[in-house]
Amino acid sequence: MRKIAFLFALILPLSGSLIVYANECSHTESHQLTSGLNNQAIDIKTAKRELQQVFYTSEPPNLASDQILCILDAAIKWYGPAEELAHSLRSISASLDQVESPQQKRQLISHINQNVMLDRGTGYIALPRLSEAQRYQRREIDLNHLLETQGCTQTASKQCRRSLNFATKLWYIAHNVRAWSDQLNQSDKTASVKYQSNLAQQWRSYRQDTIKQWPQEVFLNSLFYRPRKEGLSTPPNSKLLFLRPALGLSYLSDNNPDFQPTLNLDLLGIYWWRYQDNLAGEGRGLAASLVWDGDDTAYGLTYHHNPNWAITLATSNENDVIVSVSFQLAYWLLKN
Amino acid sequence: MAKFTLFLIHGIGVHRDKSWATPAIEVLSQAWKQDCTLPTQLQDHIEVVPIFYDTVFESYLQEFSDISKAVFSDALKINQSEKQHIADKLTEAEQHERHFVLSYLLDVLLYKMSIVKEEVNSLVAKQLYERIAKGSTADEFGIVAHSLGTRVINDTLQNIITGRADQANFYAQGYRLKFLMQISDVTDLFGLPLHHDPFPPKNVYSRDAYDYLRTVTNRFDPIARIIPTRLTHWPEGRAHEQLLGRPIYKDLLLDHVHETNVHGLTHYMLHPQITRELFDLCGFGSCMTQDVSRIADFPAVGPHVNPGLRNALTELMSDAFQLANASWQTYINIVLRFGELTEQHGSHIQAECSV
Repeated sequence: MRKIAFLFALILPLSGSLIVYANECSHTESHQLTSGLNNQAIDIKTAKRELQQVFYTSEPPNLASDQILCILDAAIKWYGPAEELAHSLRSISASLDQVESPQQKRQLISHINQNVMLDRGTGYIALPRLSEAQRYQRREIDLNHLLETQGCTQTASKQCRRSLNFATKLWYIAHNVRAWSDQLNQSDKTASVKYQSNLAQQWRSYRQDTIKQWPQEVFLNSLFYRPRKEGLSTPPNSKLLFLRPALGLSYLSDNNPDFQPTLNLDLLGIYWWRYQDNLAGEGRGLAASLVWDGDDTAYGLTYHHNPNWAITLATSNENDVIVSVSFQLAYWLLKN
Repeated sequence: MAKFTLFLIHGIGVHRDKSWATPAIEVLSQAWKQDCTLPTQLQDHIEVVPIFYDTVFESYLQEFSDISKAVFSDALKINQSEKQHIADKLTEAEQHERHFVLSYLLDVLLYKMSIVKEEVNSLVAKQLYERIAKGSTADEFGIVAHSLGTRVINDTLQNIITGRADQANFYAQGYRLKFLMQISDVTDLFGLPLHHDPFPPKNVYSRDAYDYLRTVTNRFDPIARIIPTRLTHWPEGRAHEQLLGRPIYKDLLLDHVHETNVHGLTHYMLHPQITRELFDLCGFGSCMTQDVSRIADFPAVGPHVNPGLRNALTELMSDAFQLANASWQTYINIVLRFGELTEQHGSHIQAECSV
């Protein structure tokens, strides 16, 4: 019966249906308004105290959308704003079942998120109302003020009790309507968890699995890195090499002995790689370099086969040829 | 209702894991016991979730150290026992005695690097999202950010709120952040020295990233005084609006010196004005005692403060007031003097304790 009434209310022109639905509701669902709530006469002080207890101690019960609409419809006679609240929530509730595209889903979540709020500290809630232009707007309700204006005085009355029961239900309604988005966001949540895990892995791999950076390289790479304008950014798949010192074992054509340690400096270059399964794969690098043997300086090109293995070909002013390998590569070559 | 979730975001300094927040949580628990009329504990109502990102800075510093060692280790002739001795010394110094300038300024310099900043933002976003997504869209969340953390959280929220719903934009999934409390706000620091901020968090204010903003400053905290909060990106006129019966924006100015580190998060939280505001924002304002004498009687100088320190800090203050036309050198001098003073004060306390 409840479902039929709900559908009926959605199909019929709104002006007439509200009254029909309200009447229907008041007969069949009237117990919803008072179930679990005391019915004794109270004064304003007690009402406010009991409302505080609702904010701090009770877990809001789950209310189905038709129960929420019943509560609001039943209050229309004595609380005017209930009509526009019921109207807007009926519209949102109907949309919940009709969401087809992701765009509709996000729009609906946004309407709820922007217009439904609650604050137990101030005793305010906000619920949506539809403007004349059929746009959702936030309507703030001070629940303590509601008690004061809807029959609560220093003298105990049943009217005050009714207002307290309604204020309590409004609190529950705001809580329940905010939770409606939980039905809509599951796929985005699953995707987000995976997205963040992948992103964290990529950033970790950018730092740990590729060539390590000197401070000046972090500075230079940051100058050239362009983060996304919207959303979280992924790490780059290359690093600029800049004034990067290393010790090398070099063959110097004009020297005796031919082999000696040198200081090699990558002046400017680039090291690049691809991400596979969010991990940085094998990288390669090229750089314009300088080789210094403690006496002469030669300039040339360095090829980085991986972060540790590099080979440099350089010539000095006297056209001497220098072949230099990184210490780690030299160690591997000598060992084998 | 479900517990209120309160995220704590640290500032500059060493914060290796979640335990960094233990002292702050202890201060909050004490304040709750003193000010809240509910018979229950803080933990029954508010879940405090510490966020940490210092691991990124530490990793970079470690990387710089490793790469230098890798270059020169083969060239240095040191025997194994000496190497071990040096390694032990370095480890000890790293954990306990990171120099003031290193611990305070290197983090800021590193965070100014966009490569580092984006990784930090992604790490903070992950920790926020993992907790938020566990709850319902009806749950309540708030953030307290301190020092560098104020800029970190603004940048992170900027990235989140402009992102796609399926890429961890929890706003687009129906969640709200109730408030952001910025303690010792340095959000505008990153416009210096050229008054150009390459990545301003401009969408954070205009798109309702949080319902309420509170900025908290101690007059004796030189770091907060260097960059006074200017609400650069705040929509005009918004600062005086109310939402659900509360002012959207409040600036809280404190004036107490109780600990060695005036800039520290726990030092700020010692003040009942801050903890009461915080509990109020979490929704427990009406549970607070009506007696506000704890705020009125809160002493400006704590029992352990070296009398000379307050005078010195007063001098710092007068320097800080001249900052409108100050040069970079003045900023640096103030920060260095602050470090010196706090170190002296630390030694003084240590000496007293050992007696």
